[in-house]
Amino acid sequence: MASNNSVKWLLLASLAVLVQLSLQVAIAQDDATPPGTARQWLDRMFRSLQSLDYDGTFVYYHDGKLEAMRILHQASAGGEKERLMSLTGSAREVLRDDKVVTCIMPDNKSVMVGQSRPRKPFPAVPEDLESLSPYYQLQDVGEDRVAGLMARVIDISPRDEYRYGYRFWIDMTNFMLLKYELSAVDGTPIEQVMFTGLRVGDRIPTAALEPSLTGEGYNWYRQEGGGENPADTAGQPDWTVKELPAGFRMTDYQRRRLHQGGEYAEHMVFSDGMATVSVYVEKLPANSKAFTGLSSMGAMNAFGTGLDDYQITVVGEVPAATVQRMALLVGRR
Amino acid sequence: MKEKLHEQLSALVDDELEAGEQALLLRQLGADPALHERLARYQLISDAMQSHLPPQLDIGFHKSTQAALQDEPAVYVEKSRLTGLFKPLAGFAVAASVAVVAVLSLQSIHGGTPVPAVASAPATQDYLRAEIEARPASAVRTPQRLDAYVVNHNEYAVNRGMLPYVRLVGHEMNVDGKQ
Repeated sequence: MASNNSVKWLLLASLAVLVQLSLQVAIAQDDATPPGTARQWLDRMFRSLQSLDYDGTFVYYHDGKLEAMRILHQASAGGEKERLMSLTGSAREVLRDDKVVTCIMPDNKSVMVGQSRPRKPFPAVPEDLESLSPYYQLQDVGEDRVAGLMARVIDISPRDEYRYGYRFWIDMTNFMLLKYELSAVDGTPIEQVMFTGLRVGDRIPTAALEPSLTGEGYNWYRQEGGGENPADTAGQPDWTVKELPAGFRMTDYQRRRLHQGGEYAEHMVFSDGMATVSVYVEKLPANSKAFTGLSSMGAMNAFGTGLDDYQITVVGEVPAATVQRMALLVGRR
Repeated sequence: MKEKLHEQLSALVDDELEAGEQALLLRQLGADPALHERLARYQLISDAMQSHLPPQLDIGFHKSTQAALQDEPAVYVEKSRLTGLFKPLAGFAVAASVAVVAVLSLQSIHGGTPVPAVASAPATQDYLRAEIEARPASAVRTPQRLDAYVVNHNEYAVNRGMLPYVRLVGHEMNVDGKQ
């Protein structure tokens, strides 16, 4: 009897080991299979950016200016932690974990604390990318070298002027992003990021993710709302965007307080699968006027306008024409 | 005055409106729902004529386009061109203003449909002031209050393979409103 039981246990244990081994093999195979299509390359890149530890130096080019920055990223069971800092000019820093985003701006001695949005372990990219085809053309355009590393180049061309084109250089061994370019529909470059040095896989110590500035003596600004309270995301927005540019649909809706002492703003998020546009409708404080017109930050455009006593603000990584159009067509539902 | 306004709306849709005029028009748009509706219609017509409508049009959308076109008398004139709208139109890009100029001329011939008056004496003064203060539409200066929106929006752009916060680190911020 006893020996019979031992055999059973032995069998069960070997079965368990076998199951675990085959699972590991399956996972390893998934990671080892080279991506076949442009879509799979992008999917792998999105996963690498989130799931690997890396420390990289890169240059950011926009509006004829070149700036150097460093990014540190740690991925663990506890979540992601990231630190981005400027290496040129003012020592601006952005720190991000699964709960908060802290922007430290020494130029004007201010710190802004916003809530980070919980990231899914892997973004739902495949479905999103499926829906891209009417508005973008995805293409694998071959191999290139960036920072001495072999990269696969994936191109996403827009089919109209309401969105930008993207080109990604993806490391052929670990699928990290090595370079990207954003350009207008006519090919005019808008901005570019290129790593000049990148260390992937070495554990990033948590101490390296602490800010170099304490923010002491700075003005602190905190944002509230947008998720922690169920009422923030319940129901339908009171506002809408009439005649959206083709391909855009609402993917998120929240109420949040973005300015201290201000009213709760309605925040609607629209996406065409690649580009994301936020529409904010916020009641203006008494005796203040809406800001109107266009502002740009590299590929990010923002357009403000007033409607009754409300400030309408549209922000997105889309051409100026898109944010302007959406801002002007915001109306009550 | 209202014809001038409609011309300006059309120019706005075509991105051909001067900054000074734009400032005034935006103020009027914010206060006038009828003008706002008209802008939505012009945008839809512009999309249609530039073949920007989705490849698979749903019926509802098709109906709303038709309704918009029927609301614009002049577009009847353009209808023979618009019937080809839902087929691929390679290189066919007609500015919405062409249709709208036709709308205006038709309206002046037939008396047009009454549109609520939107311009009053103060607006005229604003117009003059806006012209004097005219600034380029692509001013890079970030206005007060905008940065909170930009920080918040970045969280929605992080899953797309780019590093959205590089724009915050690479550009001057003014969270406290000082320029």
